[in-house]
Amino acid sequence: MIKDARILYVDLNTKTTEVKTLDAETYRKYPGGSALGLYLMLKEMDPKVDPLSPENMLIFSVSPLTGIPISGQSRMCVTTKSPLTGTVGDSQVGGFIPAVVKANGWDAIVLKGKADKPVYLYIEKDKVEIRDAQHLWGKITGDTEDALIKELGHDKFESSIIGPGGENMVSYAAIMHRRSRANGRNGVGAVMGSKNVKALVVRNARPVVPEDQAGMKTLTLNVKERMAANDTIVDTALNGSAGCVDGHAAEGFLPSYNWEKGMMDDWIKTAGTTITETVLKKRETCFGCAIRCKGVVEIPGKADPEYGGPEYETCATFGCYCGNTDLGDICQANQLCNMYGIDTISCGATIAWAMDCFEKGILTAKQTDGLELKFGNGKVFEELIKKIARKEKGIGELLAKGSAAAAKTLGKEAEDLVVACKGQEWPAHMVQFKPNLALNYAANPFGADHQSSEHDPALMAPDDDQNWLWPNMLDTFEKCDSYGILDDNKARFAYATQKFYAMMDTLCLCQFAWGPAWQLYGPKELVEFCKYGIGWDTSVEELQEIGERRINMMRLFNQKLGFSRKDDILPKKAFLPVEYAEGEIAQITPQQFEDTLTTYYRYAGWDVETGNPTPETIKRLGLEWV
Amino acid sequence: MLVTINKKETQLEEGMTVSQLLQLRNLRKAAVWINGKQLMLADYESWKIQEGDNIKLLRIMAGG
Repeated sequence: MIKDARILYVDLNTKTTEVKTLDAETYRKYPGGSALGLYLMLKEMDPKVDPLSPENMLIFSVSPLTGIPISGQSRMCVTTKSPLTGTVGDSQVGGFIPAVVKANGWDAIVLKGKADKPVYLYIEKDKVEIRDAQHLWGKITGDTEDALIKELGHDKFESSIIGPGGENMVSYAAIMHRRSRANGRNGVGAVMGSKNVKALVVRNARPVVPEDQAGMKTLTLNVKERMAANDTIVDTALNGSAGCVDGHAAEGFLPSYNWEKGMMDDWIKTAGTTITETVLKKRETCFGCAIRCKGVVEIPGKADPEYGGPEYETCATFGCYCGNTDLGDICQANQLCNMYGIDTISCGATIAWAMDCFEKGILTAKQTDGLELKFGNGKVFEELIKKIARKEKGIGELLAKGSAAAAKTLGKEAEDLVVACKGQEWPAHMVQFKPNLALNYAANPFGADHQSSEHDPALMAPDDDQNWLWPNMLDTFEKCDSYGILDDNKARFAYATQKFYAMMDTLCLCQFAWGPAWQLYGPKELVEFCKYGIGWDTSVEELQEIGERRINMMRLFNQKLGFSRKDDILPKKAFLPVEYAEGEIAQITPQQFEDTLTTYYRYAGWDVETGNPTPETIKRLGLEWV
Repeated sequence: MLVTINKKETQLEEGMTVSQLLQLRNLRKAAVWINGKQLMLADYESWKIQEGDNIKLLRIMAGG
C-alpha cells in the first residue's frame, strides 16, 4: 500500500531543514513525481511568483515505486514554475539518482528561498547539510562532479548538477545527472541557478526491497524474452532513441530546415543506425533497467564518452532542424550542452530558428557576432553554445532567451518562424505525421512535449498487436489507415493516452519501459507492479484518474496566471503541407485543429471557450481545494 | 509478379510472404493492408502475396 510520503524541506534563506509527512490517503491521490510537486506548489506557493525569484519552489520528487528493481522505474521529476514558458514547469530525468533518493528514505526534496552564496545540498539518509559551493561555481558539470568526488573522498553518491547555463539562468538551462542525463526541459536548471544551488548530492544506500518478491519475479524473470518479442524495444536497445531518425526519414517526416521540410538530403549520415555502426562506444542503462537504450559515443577531439551520446531529439535539433549532416558536430553539440547544462532540444531548435532568420536576412552577421548562421553550418555550434551558456552580450544573450522570447525582440517576421508552444520549442515529431501531437503540443500545460501522449501510429496497428490492444484498454478507438488524420478519434486518443502519460510522470516511470502501446510493459503489468512492488491494489481506472488529476492541477495552476484557450495555439509552420516519402501530401488545417481542440476539451471536461476545467470536472477529481 | 505497393507498381518475387516484403523494405514494424483488408500480425509470416495485389504499408513509429 501507499505509505505516508516523507518530504524534506530546505529553506535556503535561513539554511535550515525540516521533515514533513504527507498522509498516505492524500498521497494516494498525488502519488509522487509531478502530481506531488504540483500538490505542494499549489498548497504553498502563489503561481504568480517570478520564476527566478526566491519565492519560486523547486521540487525534486520520486514515487512509491521508485527504486524497486525492474526496468523503467528510476525517474525523478522536477516541478517548479518555468522561466521558459511562464507556466507550471515539469521535467523528468532517469539514471540512478532517483533510486538513490528513494533508498535514502525521501519522496520529495523541496527547495525554497535563495542561498546568499553558492551552496550544494548533501544528503545521507536523515543527515542533511547545506554546504558551501563557491569553489564549484563556474565549473562545467563534469568538473563539478570530479571536484565533488575529490572533496568527499569517494564516488559513492549520485548527483544532480547545474553548469554555467543554470548559473547564468539561461531560459532553457538543464539540471544534469551523471553528465549525460538531464532534467532538460522547461528551464528548471535556471531556477536552481537562481537559488544559488550548484548541486544536489545524495549518498548511495541499500536499494528498496519489493513487498512481494515472488510476485515481482513474474514480471522480471522473463524480461529477455519479453524484449526479444518486441520489435520496437529490440530497435531501441540496438540504436537507442536515435533510431527514430531512420524511421522518420524513411517516411519523409524528418523535421528539417527549421520545419520547412520533412526531409534532408544525406540524413543517413546522422541516423541512429549510422551512430551504432560508426561512433557508438557502448550502451548504458538506468538503475535496474534491462533495455540499455542510452548510447555513449566517442569521436576523438569532438566527443568524449563521459558525456554520453545524442538522443533522437538531439540528432534532430542539431541535425535536420539546422540542415546539418555532420555527425561529429551533432555529437560535439550534445557534449557541450551537457557540459554547460542546457537543454539540447531548445538549444538546437533555437539555433535552427536563428539560422532561418539569418537566411531570410532578419538576423545579420553584425547581430550574430560575425557568425555565418547558414543552414548546414554546424561549425558554429561550438561557439554559439558557449556564448549562450555564458549569456554573452550579443547573439549569446539573445539566443539564451529561447526562440519565442528572442523573436519578440526582432519583430513579426521573426516570430512567424518560431516553432514553439507556450514558448517551449517543439520536439522532433511532425504534427503532419502524428496529428494528435498537434493537440498535445498546443494544449499541454508546460509547452510542447512529445512524451505527454502516445503517438498516432498505434492506431494503425493490426488488431492482434499490443500497439492496438493496449491503448484500447484505456478507451475505445477507431482504426486509422493513413497519416495526417486529425479528427474526433484522435482527440479521444490524445486525451486518454495523455492521462496515462501524466500518471507515468507521477509514478516516475520511464516511457520506454512502461506505456500504453509499444513499450516493454503495459497497463495490466503496471497494475501488477503496483501490487507486487508496494502492495497497492489499484486499477487502470484509478491510475488514469491520477493522471487526469495531475493534468487538471496543471491547467488550474496556469488558469491562475490567465492562461486559457487563447494560449493553446500552434505556430504557423504546423500547417505547412509536407510531401512525404510516398509522394503524397500530409497537412492539417487551422479549422481542423480548432474543431478537434474543442472535441479534446469536451473529452477532458473543460470549458470549450476557455479551456479551463469545469466545476464538475474539478469536483469529480477532488480538486475544489485548488 | 507485379503488385501495387502504396500506389506504386512494383515487381516482387513469386511466393513472397508479407514478412519477407517487410524485411525487404526494412520495415521492422508496420501495418499492412492487402486489397483493402488489414492483416493480423499473426498472418505476416505465412501470408503469400499474389500477383496484382494492392498493398498498403504504413510504418508504426513510436515516440522517443
